[in-house]
Amino acid sequence: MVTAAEGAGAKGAGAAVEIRNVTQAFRAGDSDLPVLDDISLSVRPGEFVALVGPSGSGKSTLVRLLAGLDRPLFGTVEVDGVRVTSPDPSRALVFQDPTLLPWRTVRGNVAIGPQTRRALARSRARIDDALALVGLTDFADAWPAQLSGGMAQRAALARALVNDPAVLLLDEPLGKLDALTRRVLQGELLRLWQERGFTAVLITHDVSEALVLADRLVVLSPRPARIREVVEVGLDRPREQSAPEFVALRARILALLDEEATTQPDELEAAH
Amino acid sequence: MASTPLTAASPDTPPARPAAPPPAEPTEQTEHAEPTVQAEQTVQGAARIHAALQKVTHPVRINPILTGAGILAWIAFSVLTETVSDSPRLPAPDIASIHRTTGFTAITGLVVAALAAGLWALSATRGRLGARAAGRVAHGSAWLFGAAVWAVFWEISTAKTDVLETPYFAAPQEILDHLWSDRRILAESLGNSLQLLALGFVLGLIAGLATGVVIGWWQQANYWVHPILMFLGPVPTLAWVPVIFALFPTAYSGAIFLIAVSVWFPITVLTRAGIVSVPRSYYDVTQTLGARSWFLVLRVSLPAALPSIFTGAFMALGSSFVSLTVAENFGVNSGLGWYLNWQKGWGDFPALYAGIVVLVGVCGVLLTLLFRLRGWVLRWEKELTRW
Ligand SMILES: Nc1ncnc2c1ncn2[C@@H]1O[C@H](COP(=O)(O)OP(=O)(O)OP(=O)(O)O)[C@@H](O)[C@H]1O
Ligand SMILES: [Mg+2]
Repeated sequence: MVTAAEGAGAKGAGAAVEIRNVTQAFRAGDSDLPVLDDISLSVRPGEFVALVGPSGSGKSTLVRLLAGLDRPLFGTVEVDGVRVTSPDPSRALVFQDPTLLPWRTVRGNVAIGPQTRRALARSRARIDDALALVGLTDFADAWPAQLSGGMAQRAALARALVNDPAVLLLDEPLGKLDALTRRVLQGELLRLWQERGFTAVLITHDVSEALVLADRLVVLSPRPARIREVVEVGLDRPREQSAPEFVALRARILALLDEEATTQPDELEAAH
Repeated sequence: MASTPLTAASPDTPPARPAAPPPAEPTEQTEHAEPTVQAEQTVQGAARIHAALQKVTHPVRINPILTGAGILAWIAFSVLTETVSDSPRLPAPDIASIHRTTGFTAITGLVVAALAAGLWALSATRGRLGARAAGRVAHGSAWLFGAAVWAVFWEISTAKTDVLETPYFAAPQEILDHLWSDRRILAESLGNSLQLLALGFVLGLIAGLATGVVIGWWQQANYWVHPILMFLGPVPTLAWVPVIFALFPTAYSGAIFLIAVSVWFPITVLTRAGIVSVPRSYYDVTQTLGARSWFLVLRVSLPAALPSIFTGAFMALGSSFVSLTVAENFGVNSGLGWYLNWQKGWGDFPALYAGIVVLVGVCGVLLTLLFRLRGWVLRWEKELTRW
């Protein structure tokens, strides 16, 4: 099997993502817990889409379906016309928790992808590049237990990027970082996306972050998540957060989210 | 500092000049001056930090009173052993071996004292060796003293007064005598025991890891094997002996099996437990990075289960020693376990104790080695210092 990582350069390798009528639910004790309710969304190759929604609405659940870690109860997920049934390194997922393997050094964690393809020897430089990108060169040989929360999250980002994915799924990857590091990594993410052309799906609580990065913003309702609205950002990059259009757009999206939170107050308890 | 080269370069310039100079020149000047100042400060800071950390992380403090008392107590033991005459109630010299080895025992005490003193002297030197010696002395001084007190009590209560009567209690002299006079047979027994133990342990370890991984991963296998494991595991080694005689062609292969079983059980149980409790997110994350089943088994679940597996290995080492002594007395007829039983048959208790000393020594060495191995393999676990 040839993955995106082996393709030379892999530039402009973004894949189209098609979510069709996806419904997902879990068993919570005796009752059923509907989480995703008939979600349909198409993402163009190389597009940057951000998902925003209240906590506990089902964003991580959706992104797990895109990664192929779970299957939807109803509906389908397709990437480049092929139905997603299992995980694949061409769809990299940066989890909400960094989940580094604690018995591997930072470099060892970043090397997992190449190692699964028996490409470890060839990928030395690529691994070093990924570490440098997230600023962890000095901590390459540290154990995950020795990292701060933000450093661990950056290591997880490097671990996903080293695979040169066609689709990059980001589940609040910058959530634990300080404002400054966050800004720097947002810039890096944008640069990488423009350079490599992968399709990006970003989950975030931070509306400003979504507006700085994404082409389109998908606003989800509280659980069970429905697509509340899809907003075209349509501003030129780099985006200035103080620009009037930006401010107006943010206000509009925050209002949408607020409205959701107040119309269904019982959902607040579901949010942890 | 920084202003000196500036004024030297342009002595005629009015005082206002250095404040707003042409951009190229002063940047060059400051670039020469500033980094050195900064670098010096950093080096100084690093040295101070290093010294401070040294104090915090290696608080090696040798207690001179305790260490001195320990050394003196060992010397006292030697003097006591040599000068005070033995109890008149002891059996005649040709039966009891106490009198032959009195001098040797006294020398042993002096050797211990000399080793401790030498290590103490070495700890005063600089460098890695000195630091290691200091660590040893600081850590061991209480034991040095405690062991000496025990040795004095032992010597007085047996050889010097016979309050603890022969032959049920043996004086240090007697044990040393047997260790020396039986050295050939003890060394041979030790070699045979270690060989048998190694064979049984390695086989049991491999089988245990394999069974643990299979039942940890495969529900169907777990359904069948786990109940059997729970019933067979607690069966004491001795109960296996008749079955083994019936099933195995040679006593030696039966003995290996006996030890392997006692290793297999704890390793299997704890490997399975370790694998079952691996967080699902580890599998999720490696799968999205392209990992297939073999990677998940060998490179995710096994390393994640290692802390649990090591717990099993410690239990296995203990039970393998029990099995070893049992196995050696049924058909194998060599080794330390056999030696113990043989001496017990003769009623030679001091010899029995000498055998036990060797056995305990071997067990201690193996346990220490296993601890070392665990510390190294699981070094990722203990380095929990947060930056
Ligand atoms: N495996 C599961 N079994 C049962 N319930 C689940 C499972 N995974 C998620 N849920 C439930 O689904 C709902 C949505 O969870 P999800 O993690 O997708 O939320 P989220 O939108 O990512 O929230 P957050 O922003 O806080 O991360 C929650 O109520 C959660 O309890
Ligand atoms: Mg989530």
